[in-house]
Amino acid sequence: SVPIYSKYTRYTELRRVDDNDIYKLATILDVNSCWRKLMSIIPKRLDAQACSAPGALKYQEIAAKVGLKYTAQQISLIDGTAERLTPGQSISQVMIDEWKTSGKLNERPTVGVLLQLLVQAEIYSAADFVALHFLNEPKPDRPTDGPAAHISLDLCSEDL
Amino acid sequence: TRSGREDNSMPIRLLPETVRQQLCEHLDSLDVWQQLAAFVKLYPNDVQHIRIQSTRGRSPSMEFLNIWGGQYNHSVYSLFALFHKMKLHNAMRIIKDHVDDKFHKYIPRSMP
Repeated sequence: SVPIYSKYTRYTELRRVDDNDIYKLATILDVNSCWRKLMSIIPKRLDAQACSAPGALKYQEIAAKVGLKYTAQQISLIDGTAERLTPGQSISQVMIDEWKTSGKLNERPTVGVLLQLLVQAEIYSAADFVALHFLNEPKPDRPTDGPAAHISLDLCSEDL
Repeated sequence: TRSGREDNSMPIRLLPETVRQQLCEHLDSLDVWQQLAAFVKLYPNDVQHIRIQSTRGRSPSMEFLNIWGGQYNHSVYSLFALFHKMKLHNAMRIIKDHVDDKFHKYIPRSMP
């Protein structure tokens, strides 16, 4: 079905996304330290606008060419803020706040870039949320193998 | 796949706490978390995370559900199918009220 209404587009910069929506996303990324998995794969000097459309972010190509934005040390700096968080603040929110205001104008991360990186990192909890609630798009396709793959009951099972 | 059409169950992370606890106690008593992790091909760092948490006295099955259900956003239907493939029939029974009735035929009758 054709999306009737979406709150944001793939080109919306993350710093333009409502705080409340970032907060909901952050609570999902707090589970199992998924924020760290996301932060550790963000490419350096990404032309975010050019990479926002579906399939436009050719991850392997880009990451191999330009390298990664955040070092292990920068990631552990975010970790170190955990003790200083005020109630209602999440560590993922600190990470997103750092990322969304970083870089030059065309490097500011967008919803489209976020979604593609979430799929790349196989954080489907957050990817499904962004697709459905930010973009009014269907959930992203799953790989056929690995922990993210769907498991279904075998319909020609001998147990039937 | 057919699962997309057939699956209208809740995400694993929304399982009621009592069911989740009963399920984890059962799975922990069978000590099957490593087989579950291997079956769904969890990555080594996640397997290691579960192992570390279990040495700290946390339920490894709960940690497994946190990762496979939490990060990967799998549904109770997928969990039911996973238990079916691993022949964990009592685990299927524990969560059966949270999948569609038409799937209950996959649970074998309990042996005397």
